[in-house]
Amino acid sequence: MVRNTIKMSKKELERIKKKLIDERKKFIEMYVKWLKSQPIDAWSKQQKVIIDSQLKQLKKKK
Amino acid sequence: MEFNLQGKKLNKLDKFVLEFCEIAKKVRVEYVIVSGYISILFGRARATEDVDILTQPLSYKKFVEFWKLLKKKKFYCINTDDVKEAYDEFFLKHLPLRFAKVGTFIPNIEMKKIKNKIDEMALDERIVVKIGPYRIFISPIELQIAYKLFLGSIKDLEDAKFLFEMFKESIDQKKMVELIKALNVNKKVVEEWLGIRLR
Repeated sequence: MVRNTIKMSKKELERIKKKLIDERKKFIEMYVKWLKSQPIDAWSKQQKVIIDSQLKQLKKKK
Repeated sequence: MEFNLQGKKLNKLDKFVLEFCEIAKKVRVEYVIVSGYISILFGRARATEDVDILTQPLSYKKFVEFWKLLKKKKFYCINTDDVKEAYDEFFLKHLPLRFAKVGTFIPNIEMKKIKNKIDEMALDERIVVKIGPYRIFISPIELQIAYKLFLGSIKDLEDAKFLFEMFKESIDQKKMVELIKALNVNKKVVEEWLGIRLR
């Protein structure tokens, strides 16, 4: 059976949104902690790989 | 305040921005980088399609000088290839001009003339970031955090939190709070994203 729609209460949707935001905030905190623990050349080496590949993807989409 | 990013492995976005800023420096155009790229510069692992740069008001002569050097360095203006139109219809009217490398569309620089008090503060109090032999100018971190909270999209709020977590020990938090209040940011947003309770 294919569902055409979903029914959720406003409260439930808010709860889902809050959970996602909390997870993102946790991730940023963890990530910054890691960044601060690394020398610049170490974190930027990894960042370069990610950003260069993201830019490549964005260019392909255009 | 000055930041030192010596040793940073430059990604393509960094190189693109540094090249543009070097041209601005050569023609003595005062500028400041604002918004998303600042978070990326300091380590956020996300790309962006455009980098926002504000400049001082420029005379037509200075604008043409800048334009010519950009062209020489293989940048082109996405909006128009007519320098007079770019100046009269975009720059003077505070509309963004977009510059990319020839043959590309992204990344691009979104360049605007300063327009309001927030812009003025960003330019007047800009701070230096040293990267290898380069020096670029970015908006004060306190203002960036407040402005990102003010913008309010999830991406902006994440940028605000990222900058706050990175620099909470070194920034002037009192100044940041004043700016947050001046921009009338919702107290709940500040508490939720920065963990600061405003009175």
